[in-house]
This record gives sequence, C-alpha cells and structure tokens, in this order.
Amino acid sequence: MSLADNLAKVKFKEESKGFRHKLSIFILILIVLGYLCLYGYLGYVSASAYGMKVEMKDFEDSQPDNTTIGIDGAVIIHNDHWYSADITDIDIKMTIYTEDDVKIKTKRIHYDIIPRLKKKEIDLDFTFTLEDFDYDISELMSLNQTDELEIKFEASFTYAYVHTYSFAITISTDLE
Amino acid sequence: MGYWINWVTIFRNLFFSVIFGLVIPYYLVNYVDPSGLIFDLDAILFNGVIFVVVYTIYGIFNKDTVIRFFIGCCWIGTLIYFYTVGSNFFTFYIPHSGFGQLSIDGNYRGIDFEFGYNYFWIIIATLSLKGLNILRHLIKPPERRFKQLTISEKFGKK
Repeated sequence: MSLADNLAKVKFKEESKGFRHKLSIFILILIVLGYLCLYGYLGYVSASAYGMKVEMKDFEDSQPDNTTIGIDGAVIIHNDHWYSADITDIDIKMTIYTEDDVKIKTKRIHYDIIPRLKKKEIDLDFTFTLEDFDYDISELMSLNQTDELEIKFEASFTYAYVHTYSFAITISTDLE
Repeated sequence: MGYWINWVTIFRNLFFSVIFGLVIPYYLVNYVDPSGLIFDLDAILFNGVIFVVVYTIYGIFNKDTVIRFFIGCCWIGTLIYFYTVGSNFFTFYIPHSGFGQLSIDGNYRGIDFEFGYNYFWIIIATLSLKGLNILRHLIKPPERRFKQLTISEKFGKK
C-alpha cells in the first residue's frame, strides 16, 4: 500500500461534522462582514480623498542672484469637508545633489497631522544660498564635474491612517 | 491505486491554473507591454508555474481528508507568497507590486518623477479574507449527495 493510499485514509472524524459545519457557517459570517467592512471603508476613504482640495499660494522659484536657488511659497490644504479624514506624517523635503549624486544640502518640513475638518497652510521655504551648503564653493566645484546641480523635491503623507502616498521630482539647474 | 485521486478536481485545477497562470498572462503581457517596461514577464511566468504546481496538487486528494487540509494550508501560504513578491496572476492588475507597494517612475518633459502608493492594509485584509474562505472550504463537511435518478426512475415513482 502506497504512502498516498495511507494518507488518503486519514479522514476527519464523523463526530466532528456538526462542529465543522457550525464553524464553517461562523467563518462565512466573518467573511461577509469582513468584505462589507473592507469595501465600505475603501469607499469612504475614496470619497473623502476626492473631497480634498489643494491650493498653491504665491508659489515661485527664487533665484535672485547666482548664489541663491530655491522654491518659495505656500500650499493650502482644504481638509475641512464634513466627510474628511486625518492626514498624518506629512513630510516635504528638498535635496540638492551634484550631478554625481553627492548630497549637498537637505531642507525638510514635517507635520504630524492635519486633522479632519481643518484647513492648513504649509509654508514652503526651500531657498538655499552658498552659505547654507555643507561644502564651500571650491569643494563644490571640484565635486561637480559640470555646472549643473540636481534638485530633488519629495513629499509623502499618510491618508486616513492606512494609505501612504509619496511623490518626487528631480530637476537639473545651471550654476551660472 | 487511484481511488483516492479526485480526477475531476485535479484536471479542473490544472486547466484553470494553466489558463490563468500562464496562457492569459503570456499573451496579455506581450500584447499590452511587448517591450517589458511595465511587467516582468519572466517573473510572472515563473510564479505561474508555481501556481500550476501548487494548485494542481491542491486538487489531488478527495475532500474530507486530513492530507487535503494540510495541502490547503500550504496553498494559503503560497497565496501569501504571491501577494508578497507581486508579478503574478493574483497581483496582475498592479505592475511590480510587492506586498501593497505600487511604484511608478519615469520622465515627463525632461523632469524625472517617482510616484509611490502603499496599500499594504488592503493586501492584509484581502489575504485574511481569502485565507478564511479557503479554510472554510477545507473544514466544511462535504455536502450530502443525493442519488442521481434516471428519467425512468423519476417517472416510475409517480
């Protein structure tokens, strides 16, 4: 008699049928409730995210002279609709790299929470001058093979405590 | 040998897994993304083979046997693997997703961009509900089967 034949003989006890039947019904109820909660909450989060508005205020790139570079302005987040949800762990970061990916300077803005039913204005001041840099100009020029710098702008946040979003853009700019 | 094999289920599972794990992904990826920028066809086909093997084994033994219960638990484990690594039939609708992480990067008008979205809680919830449903099928006693009556038996009883 083969191993498979022996394994196939081991069956659940006949007396356990009633218990297994009740347990399977209980699990079925759990599954139905679980799917209802899952799709219900997904629907709520989608609807509440759709009602959120973001507005730019006095947003401009600041490059008054050849030693200053950056972005200045504010972002207004309207999270004040009645079916809104909390926005947490808001992290906005701007990093300047040489073209060889050597990090020169980072500025970071962090907010723990924008509660639901609230409007929040976030000031963005990502202006860098040569004095801010971790390297002096001669070191910087020797690190960088060209006259270009790379600026990486990153933002991430968590919506309704369960969805985490992040985005980043990288732009190149001349040192001249 | 042979009485313990559920031939109907084994061939149904084999047919289903080959079609949905290998054939459809192969033609769909070649049609939608022939250059392989979005989908990783090799990974999808590798996971497709795992899907075919495990799901076919899952169909071998008759219901109500303890060995089928344990193989079913392994099938739940395989589903956890599929959702963890991404690039398979079960996460096919989300390219390169690994445990609820969606990442897209590219270049738009000379500006490099990256976008990330993490939805791990949906994956955990879906996996838990799928796992519970498989477990329910595994412990549920087989339905009572009524004797199939022939037409003559049916009319003869009247």
